Amino acid sequence: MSTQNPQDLQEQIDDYLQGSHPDPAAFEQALAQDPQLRQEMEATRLALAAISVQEDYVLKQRLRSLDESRSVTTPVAETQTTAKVVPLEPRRRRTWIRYAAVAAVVCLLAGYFLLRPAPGARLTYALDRVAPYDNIAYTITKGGEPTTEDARASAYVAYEAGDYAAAEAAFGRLADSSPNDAFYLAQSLLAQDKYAAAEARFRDLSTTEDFQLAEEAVFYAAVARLGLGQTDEAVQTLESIGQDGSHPMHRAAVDLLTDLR
Amino acid sequence: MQTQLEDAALFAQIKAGRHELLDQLYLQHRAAFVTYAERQLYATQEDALDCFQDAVIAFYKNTVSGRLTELTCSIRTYLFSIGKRLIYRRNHQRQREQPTDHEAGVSPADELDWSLIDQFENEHQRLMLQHAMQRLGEPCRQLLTLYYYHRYPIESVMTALDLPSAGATRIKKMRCLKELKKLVTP
Repeated sequence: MSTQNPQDLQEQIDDYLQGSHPDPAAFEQALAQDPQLRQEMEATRLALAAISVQEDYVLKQRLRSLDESRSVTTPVAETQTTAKVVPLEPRRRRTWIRYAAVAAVVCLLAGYFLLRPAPGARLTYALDRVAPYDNIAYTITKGGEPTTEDARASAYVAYEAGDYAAAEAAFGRLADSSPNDAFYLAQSLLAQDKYAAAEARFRDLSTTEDFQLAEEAVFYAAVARLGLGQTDEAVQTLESIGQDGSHPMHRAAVDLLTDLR
Repeated sequence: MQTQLEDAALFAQIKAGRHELLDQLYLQHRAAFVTYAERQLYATQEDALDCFQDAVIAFYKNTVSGRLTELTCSIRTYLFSIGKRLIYRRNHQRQREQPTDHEAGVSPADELDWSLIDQFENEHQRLMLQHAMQRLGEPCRQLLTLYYYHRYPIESVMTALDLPSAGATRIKKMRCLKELKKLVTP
């Protein structure tokens, strides 16, 4: 074992395990030559793991309790648990409800078969079912003083409200547009069936380095190509995404291909 | 509005050890993440909440450990990125598929130490370690948690626990760690 005092040695072990050792190679060499040092390091590794596991648990419980405190106790819930439940309608009427439900199902089925999209309309039907991507890039909070971020905020507010024309205009006015802004501009264009403009932007974004939504951009570029009538190319991309279980748009691609068929 | 400046200020405060601000962060972005995960990732509400809690914890650990030194995107994007990958993992586990390459591509979640997360999926080992911490006395548990988990400097631990000096705090930390090592080693 090293001749260093235990406190210094422990600090070296701590630094090594926490990735802040100034000379990890030298320390590894010492470890290789000293079984007792290895034993100390393994014990420390387990001890730090115990601290991490326990505190992760404590933090997790704290966050969970925030959910519980907001959702469990409401006056309505209390009333429901203590009050006697009285049926609003006489029991015999339930038979009619059953008949009405059966009739509604029959009507729905008949309506589906009569009104389901014709094969030629499948493309439009499938495109209509592709939802604009949720805003995950920008936090909008209510109130507060006006800031320099107002222009960007108004673009995202319009986007979240489904006012894609206003969102397109607002994103287009941004002087310092980021790849995230460009992605949501392309989404706004796609939502307005401006396929050519959307496709060009998504194609650029799909090859933008370090862009977090690049994989999503590949999917939406394919959707835009569908809108442009470039079906073969689009389907090829969608099939490739559909075969890749780890792709973030895997399920959406599979669903879209199902709708197209 | 959560501007870049507000994000930077919040990040700096969390980095300085104000972990109670995680509650605010969680409440601020939780609903949006759940909606996003349900709509885009086909997650259940329960899974979405669970993964988002883990994402907030991972963000905190990466921040205090120095693995995440500066924000290259908004905190929201960072949290969503980690949460998204945790949901993929869970979906794959549900489908009993082989784990996929969750580190593929560049992502803010790349600073995550996935080995730590993988390591404690072994429930038995996790419980054993947790049990050891619970057997440790409260003062030792507090001291070790502040120093090793929240990465407080020794002087801050001294102040937080009202200990007489930095030297005394170091000695106490050594004793507590020694006790914990005994409890975790077979």
